[in-house]
Amino acid sequence: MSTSPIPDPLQLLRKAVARLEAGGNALANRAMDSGEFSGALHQMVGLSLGMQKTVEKVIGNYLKKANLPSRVEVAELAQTLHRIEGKLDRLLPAEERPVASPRPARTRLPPEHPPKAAGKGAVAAAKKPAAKKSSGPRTRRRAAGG
Amino acid sequence: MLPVVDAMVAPLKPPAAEPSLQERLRTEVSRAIQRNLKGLSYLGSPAPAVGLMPKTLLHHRGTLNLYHYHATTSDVYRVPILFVMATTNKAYVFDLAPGQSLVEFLLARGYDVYVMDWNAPAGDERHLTIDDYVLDFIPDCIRRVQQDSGIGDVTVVGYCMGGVLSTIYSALHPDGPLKNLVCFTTPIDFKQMALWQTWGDETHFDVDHLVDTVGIVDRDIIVNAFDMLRPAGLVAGRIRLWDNMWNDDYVKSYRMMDRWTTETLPLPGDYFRQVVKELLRKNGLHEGTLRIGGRRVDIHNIKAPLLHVIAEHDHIVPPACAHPLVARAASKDKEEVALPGGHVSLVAGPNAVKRMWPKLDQWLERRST
Repeated sequence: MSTSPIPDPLQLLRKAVARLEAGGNALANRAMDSGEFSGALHQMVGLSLGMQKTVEKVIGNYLKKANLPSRVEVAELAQTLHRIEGKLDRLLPAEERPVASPRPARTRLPPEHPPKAAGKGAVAAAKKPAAKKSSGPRTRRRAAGG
Repeated sequence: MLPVVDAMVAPLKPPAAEPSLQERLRTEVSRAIQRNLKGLSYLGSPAPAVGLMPKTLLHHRGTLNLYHYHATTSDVYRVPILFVMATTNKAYVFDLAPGQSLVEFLLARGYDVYVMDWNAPAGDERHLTIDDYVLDFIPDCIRRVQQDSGIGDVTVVGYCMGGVLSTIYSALHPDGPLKNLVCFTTPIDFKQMALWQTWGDETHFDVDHLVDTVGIVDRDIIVNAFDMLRPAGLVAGRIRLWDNMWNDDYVKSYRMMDRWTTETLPLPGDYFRQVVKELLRKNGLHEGTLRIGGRRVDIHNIKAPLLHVIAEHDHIVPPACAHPLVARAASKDKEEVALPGGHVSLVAGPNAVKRMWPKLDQWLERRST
């Protein structure tokens, strides 16, 4: 806790932001958890979809008359090309493929003393487990059919 | 699944001792200068690189990618791990950056890691359903993992909707080859998702009209729906970003998560329709009425050792929604662990490094030989 007589304005801002966020979310969730809101929301989505469909239809007709492909058709063409490329890659002779690195032996056994926490860096933690204990997870074990 | 940018970034550490007024002024002036300088470079710099651990693409089929990560130890545990990513997001949340990568951690701990990742579905994949994911994609990937590793047993790890798909798969294949099932924050009782229930109510939401109109459900619809769960979070996140603009680690974490959120994936229309009708409205997974491939999905059929890690402050999958998995499964060896954190900070970020990753390692190591 701060003992300084002069308050830290940024610290006050951080606290205010956290309070406003929690309050704002709770207020908005209460307002949105109603049939009226849901109805209005889906009405807007439906309206937007209708407009989208109309615009797509008009543009589609224009592109058809201009003998041009639509974005969807180009995307489908690109997807088809991508698949052909993938199949060609798989058909390449084995020697042209990158040589797979040698596989490690599947002989690893669990250590006697498992690590309590991963610490700061993942790899560092894996090689040298930190001694600091994690903040006790709530664990529930149940018997079969529990 | 989901856009919770602020949940990912490391909070500022409080100073060890109360600094003097002069020190505080000096620090704040320095930070203000750095905010301006770094703020400008933030606007002009490219998105951060993610998913950097070396891997091989084992299989690609439309929306599905199966990766095998290269081992970093001379020996590995016998049983390989197959991650099943949530269908709305890219799997690089498991491999954000060196030091913030669950994959890197598991490789260093001696596991053989495979990941099922998703691409945006193409137009001709609009008819994919849960049945395709559970009865085709997952079994196909398990077969490929078995073939590649030469081992019959496989541990499946599912995150959010990836957990739902893994759970359904496990319930429909109780006799193997599943060695262990691990789920992260996986919804089972969808009636506990209050806002989704209201928004998905058939009185107001005509899912058939939406799906029949668009075919593929656009990412914007998905992102907006998740943002609406915490509408104030976006503004608060931006203010925190400005406040921490001087802190390179914070900005890097923020940008990685921002990129992950931006790259939310669209969904196949029929899959979306099935999720809304069967899981959200009928609560089929919890009620035991869900049928996949003509067979009833009963969670009680799950016999494999089961770990379910849930987040205490998950606003997307509240703990009450996730509890029934362990409660219902018939596994003799089963455990539910509730950790502090949110839906995303459970798997990635400083909290995950400290809490979830070591717990996962401790649970897996004795069940992976």
